[in-house]
Amino acid sequence: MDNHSVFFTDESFKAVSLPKGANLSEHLSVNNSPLLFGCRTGICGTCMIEVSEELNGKLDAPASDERELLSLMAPGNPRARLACQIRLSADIRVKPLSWK
Amino acid sequence: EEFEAEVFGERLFTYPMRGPFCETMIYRDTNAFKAWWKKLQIKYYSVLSSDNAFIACQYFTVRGLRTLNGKIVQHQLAQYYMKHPNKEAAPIPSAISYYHFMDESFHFNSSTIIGLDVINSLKEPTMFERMIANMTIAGCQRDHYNFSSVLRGIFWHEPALLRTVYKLLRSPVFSMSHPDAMYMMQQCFTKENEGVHMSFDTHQTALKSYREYVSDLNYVTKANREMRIMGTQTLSKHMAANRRAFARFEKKQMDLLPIITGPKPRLQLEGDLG
Repeated sequence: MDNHSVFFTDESFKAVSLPKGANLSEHLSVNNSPLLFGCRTGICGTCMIEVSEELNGKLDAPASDERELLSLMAPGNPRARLACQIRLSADIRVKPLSWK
Repeated sequence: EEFEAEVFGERLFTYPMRGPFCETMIYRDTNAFKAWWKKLQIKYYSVLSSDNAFIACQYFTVRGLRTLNGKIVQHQLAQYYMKHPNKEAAPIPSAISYYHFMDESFHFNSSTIIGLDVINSLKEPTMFERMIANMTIAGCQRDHYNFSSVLRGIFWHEPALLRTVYKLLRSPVFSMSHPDAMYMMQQCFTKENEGVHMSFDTHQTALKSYREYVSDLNYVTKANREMRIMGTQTLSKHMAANRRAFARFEKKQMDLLPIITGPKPRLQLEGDLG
């Protein structure tokens, strides 16, 4: 099975290798990443991230519900995503993005 | 309730409907005085929060912490239904787990909006308000200080569960003899095993998550930001408490039952040298 890697801007966290199509909220946590997951259903924004790099593939575009929330929490930031809504289809580099 | 009545003939994990000023943790490290004092605090807090916008919002911060822990477990429980190829045919309990998970998403979202965002639109809290807010976060840590391998992710005080687990093992569902039930409980609760380690790992994940959740709240003290109370729990403390409690429970059982002079427990677990 193909794997993709999730790299973190905070280099104190090692990259995590996950199968293609993996849902980040099922594999990442505060133990292996700088990400905090809240609702895990795309409505709270706790897991909002900025995807600074996409390599060896491309992530699917956010669905309309995710786009709506991102327009409120990270207006004008095309790199903003909700980590719990991402199905991994590329190597990505991410950092947490606060809506607060 | 119907299930427990049918299967066990009595309540084991369910309980009669409780009033609004009761603690939510059903298996906890408590006594009559602690329970009375806690009830008084909850009543006082309810009165305060009904007339104070900051404290009312801060209630949702604690609610968010408690829900944050729940989400860790609920997400895992919801996976079976979420990934089921034919949801119409999925077992109903798995569907309930999924809808519970979705329901808690709304709880967490509303808690986060009110506790972490709306609160910033209010004027700076007074010293009294800060004190109350930090007391409730400390109280939440005390409630989540323990962990249990009976239900991973539910931070029950395990010694408080011994009697219930004993009843469960002795019920018609498992039909264990007294020596077998005690032996099983001894292996599960007083010896380090995979279940204990997994439960402790979940506890530590919750601890780190809580720290992250309150990290931007200016009114939270350094001690609470670090979740120091919850952070003092260790695997060895948990095992020591369990061993003391099990020894007391074992003695009490012996005092209650006629003298048991039967054979050694027939139940031999894999790898156990007896």
